[in-house]
Amino acid sequence: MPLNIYIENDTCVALDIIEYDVSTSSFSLGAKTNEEIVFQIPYILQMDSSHPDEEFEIYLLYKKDIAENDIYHVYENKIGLRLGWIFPLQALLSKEHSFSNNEHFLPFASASFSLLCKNKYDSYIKQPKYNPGTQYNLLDFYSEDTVVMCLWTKGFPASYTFDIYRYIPCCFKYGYYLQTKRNPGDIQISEDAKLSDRFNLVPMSDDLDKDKYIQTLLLELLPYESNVLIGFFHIYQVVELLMENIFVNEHKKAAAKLLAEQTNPYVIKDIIEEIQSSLSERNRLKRLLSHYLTTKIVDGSLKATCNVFLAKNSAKEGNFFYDYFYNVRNRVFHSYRDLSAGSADDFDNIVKLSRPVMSDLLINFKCV
Amino acid sequence: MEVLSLLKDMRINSTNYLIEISIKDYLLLVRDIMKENEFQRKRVKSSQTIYSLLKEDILKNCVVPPVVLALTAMDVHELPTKETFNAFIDRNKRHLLILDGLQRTYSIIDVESELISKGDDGSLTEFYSHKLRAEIYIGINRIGILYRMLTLNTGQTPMSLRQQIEMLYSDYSKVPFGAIELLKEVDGRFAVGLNQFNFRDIVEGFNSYLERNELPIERSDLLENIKSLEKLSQENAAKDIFKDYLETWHSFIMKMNDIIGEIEIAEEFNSEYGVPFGKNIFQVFKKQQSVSGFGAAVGKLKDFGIVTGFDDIKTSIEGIQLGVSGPDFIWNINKSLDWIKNNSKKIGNAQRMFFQYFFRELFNPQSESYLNANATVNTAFHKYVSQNF
Repeated sequence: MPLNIYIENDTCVALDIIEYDVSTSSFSLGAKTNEEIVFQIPYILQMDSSHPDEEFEIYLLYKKDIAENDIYHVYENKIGLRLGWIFPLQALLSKEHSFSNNEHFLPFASASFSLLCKNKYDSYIKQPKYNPGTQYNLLDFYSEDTVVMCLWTKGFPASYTFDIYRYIPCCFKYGYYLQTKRNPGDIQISEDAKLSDRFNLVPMSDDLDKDKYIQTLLLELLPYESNVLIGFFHIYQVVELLMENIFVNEHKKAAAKLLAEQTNPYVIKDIIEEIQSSLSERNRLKRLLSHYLTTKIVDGSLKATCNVFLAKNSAKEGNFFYDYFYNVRNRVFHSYRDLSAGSADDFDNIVKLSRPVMSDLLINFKCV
Repeated sequence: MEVLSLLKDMRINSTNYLIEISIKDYLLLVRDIMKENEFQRKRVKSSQTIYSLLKEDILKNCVVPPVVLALTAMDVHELPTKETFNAFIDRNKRHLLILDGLQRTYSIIDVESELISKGDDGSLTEFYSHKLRAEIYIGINRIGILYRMLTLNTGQTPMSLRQQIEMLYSDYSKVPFGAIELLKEVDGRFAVGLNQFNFRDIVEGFNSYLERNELPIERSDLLENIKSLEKLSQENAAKDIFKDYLETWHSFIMKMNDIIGEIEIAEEFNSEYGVPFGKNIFQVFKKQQSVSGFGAAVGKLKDFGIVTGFDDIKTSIEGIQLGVSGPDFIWNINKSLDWIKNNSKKIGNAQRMFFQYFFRELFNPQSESYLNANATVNTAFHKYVSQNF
């Protein structure tokens, strides 16, 4: 929907006339329904309109306290395709960053600015009050810490369709949260991890991309949750979801084996024992890590923090994820009332450190 | 022109002449200054309906509210009488500025153009004979005129504080200021010489001094402007503080040139960190961020009672030492600025803040790094990090 502005009597007016004025290097915005409303938004970078807006798509994300210079190429990791750029909105409002004169960046910056003025998206926008003669800028309409992912879709091969929802876990891992209608300023979480030189987008597991719960969790629930305990429950729901997938998959395989071996009682006995084993949560978690991930998860800091927490709460520590994380889960779920007050910070850190691990699980999960 | 009244404005120490002038004479008076004086605001691109109505009213000889002008000539020693007023204005008209009534003036010019293009000589003659009232402030107190400009703009299309300061000091940009030359973008020249400065940057820096705030003034409402002028009223209103500020800044640049000269940063910096903030000392300190940091720092030092004014700073400048070799200093300050560039949400603002800390520490006799430039870089950097991360 177009950007809106408030006039007297709290009436909202849509800004649906957008023109670039070369003489003033600014975008002029106006309203078809009210010709008295006209104002400029200056564009201080060099305008590069060598490619029309229609060749680009932008997605709005949010990253708390993002640095102005956090500007990266975006690559699709699986197919090795360069898609575009990701950068803070602040990078469109300043010449001080390292890419303000970059000939490869400027077409994307120009298109993004134009598309932001036109705003055809369904995410949160601010609605300032109209004051004649005031010079507005994009931050009057978009939240600070807004991040723009600008992709040159014209350059995509015919066989490739970009679906942002497949990349939400990857973005989430680095603290980039796709904006929704809700005020992104309400987002409670952030990640310290910084990209090195480019943003390699890795899609979510093909076996999970039809699951709408993951979208709900990563877009609407987890980012806005301030309560650490509920945050942990949300994260553990991912583990539960994967274990459920494993449960169904293992039973399917077992059923197929049973059919194939129905005349062999010794094999049937083994299969039944396997089924019984898969009923155990801990065993399913073990199986998730050993058989159902394409890449081993990296969990060094999480392990140490979980074990500190477990030690403070007189629980058994563990060497592997399926032990230490599961033990934390059990301690919290079953004995929350008895948790040591001195372990509150450790629990906060566990929740923080388990978020990127959760993303890795969603990306690397593979049904076998 | 007929002088109807002459009043002394004691608040701003200036004399206000109320005149009645024909539209024809008014256009002769202001047309050139609107063409030549690039600091006059461009026409506000706003509602065409409102301006159409205004033009119609002007054509019908409505009573237009008085426009307000100011004469900013620096060499006015004797105020004109009612009798000598016309000749006086004619001699000095290129120094006139429109404080209030710019959009009305554009509308009057539009009406004239339309009548000329229609070939309607009769209506044009009648239009030229319509009378307009104007107030003209004549005085040399620029800060006072700035105050009057702000109060006149109440409730109207706001002019930024910086725009008004630019307008007030536009004369300085036209003639050499002692050894100092202020260059505007329209001059088409770059401020490469030791004695050359970008006018816009200097104005921003002076703004920072007035506001005690190194951040760019993007929008200001009347209340903010009045508050900054209340601070200014504590200064001696008769003294030209802008001149003191500029001369002091120039002294600092000259001093840094004396102790470092044109040494450039080692090429290895590019491969290790990327493009430096400034290859040499002039590129570092002549940027807007540094000038603004300087202005804000001196303002704060004055507010804290650590210095009495620019004179104290000028005296201190002589004692500045690098503390390390020239190449090491340039490397060190660029390294700090590079970290700031890679880690701050708004690079420009962060750099300004760094420089504000830098100059505060450099000129504060109570600071451990007082007058030691390299030590001050480290102190300022740590202060910036501790305040922001």
